[in-house]
Amino acid sequence: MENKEFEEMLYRHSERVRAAIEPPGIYKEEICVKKNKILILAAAVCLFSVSAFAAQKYFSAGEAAHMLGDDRLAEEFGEESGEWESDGDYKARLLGVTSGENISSFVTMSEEANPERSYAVVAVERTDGRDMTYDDEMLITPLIEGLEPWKYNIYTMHGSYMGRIVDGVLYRIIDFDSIEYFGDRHIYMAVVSDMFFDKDAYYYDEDTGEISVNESYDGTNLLFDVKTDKSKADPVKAEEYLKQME
Amino acid sequence: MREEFWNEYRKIEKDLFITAICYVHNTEDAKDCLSEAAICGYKGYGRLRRKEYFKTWLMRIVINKCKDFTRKRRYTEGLEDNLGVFYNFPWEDIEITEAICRLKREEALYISLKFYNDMTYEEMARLLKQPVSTVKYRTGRAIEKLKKIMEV
Repeated sequence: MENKEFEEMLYRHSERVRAAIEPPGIYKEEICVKKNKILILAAAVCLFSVSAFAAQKYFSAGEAAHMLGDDRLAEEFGEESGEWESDGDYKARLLGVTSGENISSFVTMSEEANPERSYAVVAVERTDGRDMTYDDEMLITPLIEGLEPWKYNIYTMHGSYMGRIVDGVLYRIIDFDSIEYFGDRHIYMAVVSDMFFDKDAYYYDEDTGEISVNESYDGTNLLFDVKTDKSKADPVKAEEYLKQME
Repeated sequence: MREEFWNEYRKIEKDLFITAICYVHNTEDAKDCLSEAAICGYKGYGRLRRKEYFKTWLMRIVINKCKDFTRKRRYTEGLEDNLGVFYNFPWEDIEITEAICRLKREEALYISLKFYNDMTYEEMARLLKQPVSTVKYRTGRAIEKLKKIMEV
């Protein structure tokens, strides 16, 4: 079948499917139920937080991975943890970054395409002392020196994440295509208080390839340095990867 | 503001639903993802500065919820698990739907946006934050793969 004919068939199929499907129809009633659930959950979390406050302790990267059910990754990370940095409503800490093949207990679709993955664990907390909630939108993404941040970020690097809030602190593991080949470049971890990458959050110097924080950005836009292993840098493979992304 | 959100939502809910189905590969999980996305969108609607991007914005939320969902779930389901969930689809269309579900999720996403949401490559590029050339290439590749699966 010719491509054009095939595409027309898909469009016709689309019309029939559209006529047949029934969307879930969630409206205000569900919002109310959800809100009630959230309130109950928030109350439970508050009670738990009060009882646990005296013994509050932040997770290391390994502990966070273990808490999120990824025991294999927990072994890779160990006890490392970084420094807190704050900006606006949030503060964050890059707990650890690791790379390898088949080092996570979970397998994602992206992993099938690019088995060599990098993983990062980040903790995020509110600066006003309130607990984080799942409505606090955070984007955590690797950025690479010499590559435009709006083109090369967790979205285009086949990333995904999972996270959980414990004692008001959000712990998130993100995974993305391996950054090891770029070990000879400056690699950053960006934490932005938005669901999507906002081009205005960071400056990109087209001459030097450096990425820096836009201080006038209206929101949290932190930038951490990621330790790299220059011995694992492979410019040829890095170039192949970039070509594959085009 | 709340009424406005739901009015806008109702106009595009089928588009969002189809995209979620293509991504998570069955209607029930797609409903869950869509519900989560709608609630998330509802809460964040006040912060959406450019209302003309409502569909793009909400579609991104749906895709993120679907990604989140599939990330949390072990990627172990086979196609046989999906048989029957399209119970209310026309029978002759099940073959195509199942073929789409045999694609990798991101390939199915390109098909969904192009053919089931009538989006242009430029709109897809804006939504996915990818260069137009990348979107064109990957959509073309997904079409080729779909043809191969369907043996047409």
